Amino acid sequence: MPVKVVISANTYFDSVSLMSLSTKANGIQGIDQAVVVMGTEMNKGVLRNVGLFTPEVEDARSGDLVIVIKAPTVERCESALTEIEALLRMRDTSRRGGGLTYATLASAVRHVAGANLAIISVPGEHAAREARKALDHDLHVMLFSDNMSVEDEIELKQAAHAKGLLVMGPDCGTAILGHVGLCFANAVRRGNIGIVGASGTGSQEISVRIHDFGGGITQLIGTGGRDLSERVGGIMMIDGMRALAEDPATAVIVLISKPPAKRVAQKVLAEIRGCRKPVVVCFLGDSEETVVHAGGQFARTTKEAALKAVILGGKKEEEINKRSLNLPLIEEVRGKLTSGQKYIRGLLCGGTLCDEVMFLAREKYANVYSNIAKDPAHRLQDVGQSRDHTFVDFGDDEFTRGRPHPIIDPSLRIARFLQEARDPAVGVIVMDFILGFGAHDDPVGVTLPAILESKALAAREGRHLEILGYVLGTEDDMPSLGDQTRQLAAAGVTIASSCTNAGLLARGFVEKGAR
Amino acid sequence: MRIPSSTPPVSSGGRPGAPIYPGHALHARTVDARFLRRLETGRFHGRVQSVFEGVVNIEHAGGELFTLACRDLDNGPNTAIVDIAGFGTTGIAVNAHVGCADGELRVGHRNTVVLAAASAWEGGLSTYPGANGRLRTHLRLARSYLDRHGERGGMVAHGGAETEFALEVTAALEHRATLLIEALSQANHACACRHAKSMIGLGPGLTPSGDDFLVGLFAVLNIAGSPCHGWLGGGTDVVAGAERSTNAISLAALTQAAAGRVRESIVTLIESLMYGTPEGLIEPLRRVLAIGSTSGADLVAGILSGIELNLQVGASRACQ
Amino acid sequence: MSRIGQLFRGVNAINVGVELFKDTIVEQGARAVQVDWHPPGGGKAEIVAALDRLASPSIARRIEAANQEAVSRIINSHPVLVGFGRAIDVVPGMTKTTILHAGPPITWERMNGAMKGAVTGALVFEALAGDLGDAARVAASGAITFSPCHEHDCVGSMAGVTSASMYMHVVRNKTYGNVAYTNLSEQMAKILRMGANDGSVIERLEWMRDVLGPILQAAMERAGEIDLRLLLSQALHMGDECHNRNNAGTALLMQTLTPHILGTEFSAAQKRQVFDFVASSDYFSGPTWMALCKCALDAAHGIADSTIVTTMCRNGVEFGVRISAMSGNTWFTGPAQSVIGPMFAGYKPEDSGLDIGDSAITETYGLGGFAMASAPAIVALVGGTIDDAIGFSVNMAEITTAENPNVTIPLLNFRGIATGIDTRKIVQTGILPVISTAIAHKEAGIGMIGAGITHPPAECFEKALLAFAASIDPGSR
Repeated sequence: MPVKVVISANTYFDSVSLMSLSTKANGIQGIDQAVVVMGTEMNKGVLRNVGLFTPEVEDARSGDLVIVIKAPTVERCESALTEIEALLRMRDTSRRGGGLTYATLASAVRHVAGANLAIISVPGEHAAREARKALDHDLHVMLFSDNMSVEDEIELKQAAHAKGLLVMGPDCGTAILGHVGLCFANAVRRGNIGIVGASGTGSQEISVRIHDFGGGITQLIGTGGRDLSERVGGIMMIDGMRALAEDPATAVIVLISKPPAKRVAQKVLAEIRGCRKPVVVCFLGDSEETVVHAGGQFARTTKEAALKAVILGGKKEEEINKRSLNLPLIEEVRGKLTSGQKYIRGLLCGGTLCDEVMFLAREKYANVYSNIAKDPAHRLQDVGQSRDHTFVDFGDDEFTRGRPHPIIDPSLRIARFLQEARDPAVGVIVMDFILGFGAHDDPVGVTLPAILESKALAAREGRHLEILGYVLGTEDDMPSLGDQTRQLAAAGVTIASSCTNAGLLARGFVEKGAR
Repeated sequence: MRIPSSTPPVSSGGRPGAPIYPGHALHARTVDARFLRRLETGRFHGRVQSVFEGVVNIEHAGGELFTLACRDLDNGPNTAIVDIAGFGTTGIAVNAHVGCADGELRVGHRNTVVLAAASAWEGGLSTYPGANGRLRTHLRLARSYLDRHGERGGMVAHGGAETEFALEVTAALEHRATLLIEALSQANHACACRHAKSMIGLGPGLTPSGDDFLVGLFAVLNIAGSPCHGWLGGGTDVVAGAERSTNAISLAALTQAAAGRVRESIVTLIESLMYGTPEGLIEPLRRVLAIGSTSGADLVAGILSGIELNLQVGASRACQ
Repeated sequence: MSRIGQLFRGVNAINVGVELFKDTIVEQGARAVQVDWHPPGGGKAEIVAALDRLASPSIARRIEAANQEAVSRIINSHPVLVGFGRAIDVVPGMTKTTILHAGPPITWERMNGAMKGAVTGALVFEALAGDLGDAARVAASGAITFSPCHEHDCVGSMAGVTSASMYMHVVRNKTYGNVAYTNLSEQMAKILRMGANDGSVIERLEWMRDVLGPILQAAMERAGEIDLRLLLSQALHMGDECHNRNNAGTALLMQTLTPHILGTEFSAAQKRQVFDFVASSDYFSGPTWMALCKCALDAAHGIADSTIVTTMCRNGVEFGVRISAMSGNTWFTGPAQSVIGPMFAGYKPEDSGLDIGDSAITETYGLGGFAMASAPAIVALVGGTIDDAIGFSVNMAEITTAENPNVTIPLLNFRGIATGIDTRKIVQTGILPVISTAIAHKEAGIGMIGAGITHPPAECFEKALLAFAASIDPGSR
C-alpha cells in the first residue's frame, strides 16, 4: 500500500491541535492510516518499525511536523494529504489570523493573486499616498483613515471613477461587500437590499433594522462622511448607486446620509430614475418633496428607511414586527420623573446615531446642544459640560485624538455617564452599545458597573434615574443582541429597539405638562 | 472616526480581552523569580520563537527559552503570566525582536509587557516526608484516577482500535518506561540513563509523551531528602547531549525539570501527594491532567513512577 | 463584468494599518493579508517630504536610470585576483606610519577596545613601538596617520587594522579597471583583527609577512590571474554565503593556488606551513570575497542621481554608509549596533563589542546575510532557522533593485542574489539590510566570542536620503 508524506518544517502546533489534526486525518474516508507527529529520531524509529518510513521522514528534524498517509492508492494518499494541508493552513490562519505579512503594498500585490481591495487605516497624513498606490495597482480602496484634505479626496475619487474603482472614505468605517463585513460591521442576513451610506453607524443601523424586519443585504457600500459635500459632489454615492442598479441580486437601493449640500442632493436624486429600482432615501432631516419628486421613496428616519426597503423588497407588511413606539412606557417613565428632571443627555458612540436622536429631540425642543451641532448657536461652549438637552458624539475628533474610537474603548463615555447620572436636572440618559466585527467584545458589560453604581446612588438620594439603552446588533453578532439587552434589562435599563425609537422615547420621557 | 496620528502607547481602558489597539501595554502579574532577575539586569535580547493562543515562547540570544503565558495558565520556570485572555489579537509574530528596557519587555513593534507591578514566583518543592503511609495511600488513589481520567494515546494506553503507529508508540513508551524504572530500582544508573534517553522525542504531541513522562519523573528525582534524590543527576545526565532528540520547546521543559524547576500545577500536585489529604488530591490531579492533550497524563505517569520508586527504594533500605 | 461588480462577488483584501481589520475578515472566512506598514522614515516630516519629492515623476525617472547604471556596473564587474603585495608597495596613499582601520573615519581616542588592541598590536608588529604600552602612547601622539581602509581602496575584516608590512590581495576589475585590496586572514580566533595582541599574535603576523605573503605573491606571479567571480558563484552553490561561511570558497581558492604554490622556490617545509595554516580555518578566503565586493561596488560609486548604497562598514563605534551619488568620501554615520546571536560557552551578551568591520561589504554586494538561503549550515551558528534564512533573502528583495544573474542561490530556484540596495526603499519600508557577522569581545586582547545577526542604524540611510534630496534638486530644503 502506498505511503505519502508531508513535512511542515519548523512547525509548532500545540498538542491539542495536533491531536485534533490526527483525529481528523484518521477520519478521512478511504485511507488506511494517518500519523501526525513531531519529527524526532524516536518517532521516526517507530515509523520505520511500522513500515511508514520514507526519505522525507528520514530528513525530518525534531522541530518539523511529519504527516504520513497510508492508503490503498496513490490518488487516495494525495487527496488525503491535500485535505490535511488545507486543515493545516486553516489552523495556522485562524491562529495567527491570516498568516503572511508584507513590507509594502507593492509587494503584497505582487504576491497575492486576485487581490481586489486595499483597506487603509494608517494615520491621515500618510493615507492619501497609500490610497494612490492602491489605485495605481487597480485595487478598490476602503479608507478608514480620516484627516485627509478635501483636495486629496477629490483627486483620489476622480482617479478611481475614471478606472471604475471605488474609493470608500476617507472616514469610512463600515462596508459589507461579497457578504464580508469590513472594519466595523454587523452580521446581517443576506437578501436583496443594497445600501450606499455616507455615514458609518447610520449604515450599520439600517443594516440591522433590515435584518430585524426580516430582510437582508446584498452589498453595503460606504462613501465616507464628506462624499456629499459641495466640493466632492457625491462621486462615490453616484457610482455606488449605479453599481447596485446593475447588480442583479439587488432589488432595492437605500441611501443614507446627513443632509447633503443642495446641489449635490439634486445630482444624487437625479440618478434615481436611471436605477430602474426603488430607491429609499434617508437624508436625515431633508425634505420629502424633493425626494418624491425625483421618484424616490422618502424616509424620515433610519427605522422608516429600513421598513420601506424591506417591504419594497417583497416582505409582507403584515408579517413584520414594526416595533411600534411603546406609548404606555412613555407615560410610565414620565410619571417617575420629577418636574425638575427635565433634560435628555445623549451619550453616543455612533455619529449618525447621535445625529438621529438629536434631530428627533430638536423637532420638539429648541434648547438642544451638542459638540457636533452645525449651527454655532447650538454648539456646546465647553464640551465637558452639558447644557439643557445635550447630545455628545464621543466618536468626534476631540475625544478620539490619540485614543481609540469609543466603539473599541468606551472609557471616556463611562466617565461622562457617571457625571450626568449625578445631575438632578437629568431626565433620561441615552446610550448606544454597538456590536459586531471590530467592536469591543462586551460593550454593555464594561459599562454595567457604572450603571449599577449610579442607579444605587440615585436610589439612595430618593430619585429615579432613567437610563435608555439601545444595542445596535443582531443575534448573530458576538456578543449577541440578546445577550447584551438582557444584561441591560437586568440592570434596570430601559431598552429601545432601534435608534429611531430611542430618539422618540427619550423626547417623550422628558415631556412636561400636556396630558 | 479617528486613529492616532502617531502611534503612542495607548492603554486599553476596555475590559481585558478587548481587541487590542496598536501600541498596547500588557501587564505582567507574576514572573518566575529567575526570569525576573534576568530582566532586571536590563540586558535581555531575543526573538519570538513560537506563538500560540495561550503562550508566546521567546528564544533568548543565549539559546534559553522564556515564556509569556496568558492569565489562565499557571506559573512556571522562565515564565511570566501576562494579564491577557489570549495572544491571538496582539499581532505578535514569530521572529519579532524582543528586548528589555525601562522595566518593560518590548516584543516586536507593537507590544510591551510592563513588569513594574509584577510579583516574583518561586516554585520549590518541600522535602520528602519522614513517614510515608500517607504517600502510599495517595499513590494508589492517584493511579486509579489516572487510569480513569487520563487522556489516552501517550503513556496511558488506548483501549480500542487504534492505528498501527499509535499501538506501536504506546507499546514502545510502556516498554522503555518499564525498563527505565526497573533499571533504576536495581540501581543500574548507566542502563537507566540509556533507557531514559530512548524515550526523548517519542510519542504524539508538541511535547512528546516520552518527554512529559521524564519531566514528571525528574521533578520527583529532585525532591530533597528523598531516597532517589539526585539519581540520574536529577535528570541532567539524561538531557546532556539530547539537544537534537526533541524540539526546542519540549527540550526547554526537560532542561528545567532536570534542574528541579517545574510548573506550579506540578509543584502543587507533588505537594498534595506528599502532604495533602485524599480529597485534596483531586483538584491538583485534574489541573495537571488538563495540560495539553496527553501531556497531563504523561506527566502524572512520570510523577507516580518516581514516587513509587522512592517508596520501593525507601522500603528496601528500611529492611537492610 | 465591471470592476465593482467583481468586488461584489468577493473580497480579497490587502490590509494596511490596524491588524484587527484583517483578523475580522479572516474570521469570516474570506481572504486578507496584512501589510506591516511603518511611516516612511519613521514618520519624520522632513524624510517624508524628501521621499515625496524624489517620487515626483521627472526626478524618479532620473534616479531609476542612474540606479540601473549603478546596478549594471555591480553586475558586470568582473573582479580577478592578480597578485599579492605588501601594503606599502601596492596600497594607494600608504606610508610607514599609516594605520588603516575598518569603518568610517575615527580618531584613536574614540576607538573601541578591540580596535585599540589591534592598533597597538600592529604598531608593535611594525616596530613603531617597543611594547603595547608604548604603542598606546605612540598612537595618541599624533605621529600615526589613521584612515579608513575604504578611503584607500581597501577593506579590512573586523578591526580591519592594516599596516605597511602586511601582505594584501590585489584584485582588479577586468570590466572597469579599478583595483581593490585587503589583507590576509590570520585564521585563529585569538587574532589581531579581533583585538588580540599578545606575543602569539605578533609572531603569527611576522610569519605571515615573512613566509605566507611572499609565497602567495610568488604563486600568483606564476598563476597570472584567478577568476574570483567564477569561484564565488561556485562557492554559493556549495553552501557558502561568503561572509561567515567560507568552507567551499577556501577550498576552491586553494585548489587553484596550490599547484602554483608548489611551483615556487620556497622550501617544502614552508609550503607545508602555508597549507597547514590555510587548513586550520575555513575562513581563509573570507577577505578574498570582501575584496571582490569592494572591487565591484567601487565601480558603481560616483554615479550622479543614484541612490544605490555602495558601502556599509563599521568601526565598532559608528556604522558608516556611502551612496553612489555622493561621490568621494562622503560618509553617513550612525551608532554601531549590537549583534544578536549565540555566544561561545562562558560568554554573555554583556561581553560583546558592538558591530565592527568592513565585512558588511559582502552584504552590500548581496552576499552574507542577504544570501543566507545558500548556507543552511551557517543558520544555526547565527541563531536562526532555515525559514529565517529564506525569509531574509526574500525580505532583502524589498530594498534592492535587481538580481545578479551571475551569482545565484540554488534553494531559491537559482534566483540571483539581491543587488543594488536602494536608500529610498530602506527609508520607505523601514526594512534595514540584514548583516550576519562575528561578535568580538568588547575588551582588547580576547577575540571572537560568538556570531549573529545585526542591522545598520536607520539614521545612516535617513541622513543619506536627506543629503541626496538636497543635492538632486537645489530647490528642496
